[in-house]
Amino acid sequence: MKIEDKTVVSIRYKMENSKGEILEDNLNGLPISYLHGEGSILPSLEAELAGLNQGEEKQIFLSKEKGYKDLDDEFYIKVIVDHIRFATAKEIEEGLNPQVADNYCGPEGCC
Amino acid sequence: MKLYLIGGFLGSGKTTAILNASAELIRNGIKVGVITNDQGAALVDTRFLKNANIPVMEVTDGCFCCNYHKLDELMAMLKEKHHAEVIFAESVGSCTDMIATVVKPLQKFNKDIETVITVFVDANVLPTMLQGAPLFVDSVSYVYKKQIEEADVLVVNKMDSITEAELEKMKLLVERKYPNKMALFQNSLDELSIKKWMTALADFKIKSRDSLVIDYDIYGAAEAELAWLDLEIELVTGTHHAFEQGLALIKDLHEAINKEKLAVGHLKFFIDDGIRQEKISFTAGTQSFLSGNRNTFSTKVDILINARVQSAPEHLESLVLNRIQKAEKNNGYKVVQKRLSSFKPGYPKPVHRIPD
Repeated sequence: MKIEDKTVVSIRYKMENSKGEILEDNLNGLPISYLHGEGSILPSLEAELAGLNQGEEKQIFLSKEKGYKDLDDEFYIKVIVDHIRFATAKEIEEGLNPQVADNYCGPEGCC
Repeated sequence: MKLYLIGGFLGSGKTTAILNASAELIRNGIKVGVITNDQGAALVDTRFLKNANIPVMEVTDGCFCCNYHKLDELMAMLKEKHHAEVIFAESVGSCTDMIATVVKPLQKFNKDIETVITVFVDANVLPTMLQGAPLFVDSVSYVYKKQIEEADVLVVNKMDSITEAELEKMKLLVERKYPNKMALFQNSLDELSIKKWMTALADFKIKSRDSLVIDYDIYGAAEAELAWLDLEIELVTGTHHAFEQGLALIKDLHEAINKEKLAVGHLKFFIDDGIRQEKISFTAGTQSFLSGNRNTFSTKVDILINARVQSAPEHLESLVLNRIQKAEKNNGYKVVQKRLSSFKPGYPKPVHRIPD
């Protein structure tokens, strides 16, 4: 199965910035999950992940020079795709991970 | 009297745990009361607990921090009327800053109450929230981590849904991110798990607590810069292509906002003709892709619009309504406005806030 829109993707990754600082490394830990095609992760990374298969690994370099204008730095990311599945209707409607409700800090100024 | 404050996002299993813990304490002859908290008027949790014959009271219209006096009043009532020795107070999902706005004021004004904070997290979600921040575009993980920071006891819940190997990795993750935090790995449906949690709370030695470092000006201002527009419309057409026309209108509205170069926090649409539903979201620099070629033939479609855009609310409202009016004229369909609200959110206004 390939990563495409409306799939739930579990990945492990190591991410470094242009200074070589490690922003996160869970290669030996538990994967993180996101809903593909919803713009929940960096759009440039989402574009690089599209089409990968379960079990595949990829070294990704993200930079403005590559046309990714959403970035404020350059990033090296090693990604391992652990699992891919189709999202449920509920996940598509409500999102995969916890959301701060739309009425968060609403008109009454109360969170 | 003990107050067990329970925090954690929606779906982390707070209510079920409170229900089972209340039953456990009642079995041991301890008198219990529960206070629920939600933004909405209809409190599903309250009904759930009342059905179990546990005295329940509720704080509605905002979190405990903004309704401190109400919380205080309900605690006194549970103590007097029901002789409660232990009160569970379940806060609204996104509530943070409980130490400064609830715990410290209680210590100051209500000295006979001992408070312990438990924060619940779902074991299936925790790895993403703790390790995904560099990848995600929204800031939900910030609020999530702030909640965990405040916990005296962190309950990683729903352990029954993960494997032994995952449990070991989960323990390492929590230890790495929160080396000094008391963490319980719990299945709230399991009596033994609940007993362990209750023992941990009863034995918890209150040490000094640090209020969260939250800059309310920055925090509030970031939200307040955005105008909020919530609009529900019905598009009625004679062409049997209401869904496609609705999609075109959504694109049109997005273009209109882009043309004015207004910064978009998020722009979400939900379109539904009774057969086909689609959620379309645009955030800064990205958009979800419209999917599916499944054609439906309908004469009307409902569209929900949630826009968070950097603009004056009046300007955003007239921009959207004018564009809809223009589309009506050009395309010969009719748009009925069902619900509209536009405003700028206010700053959080806790009753008390005691920083360190």
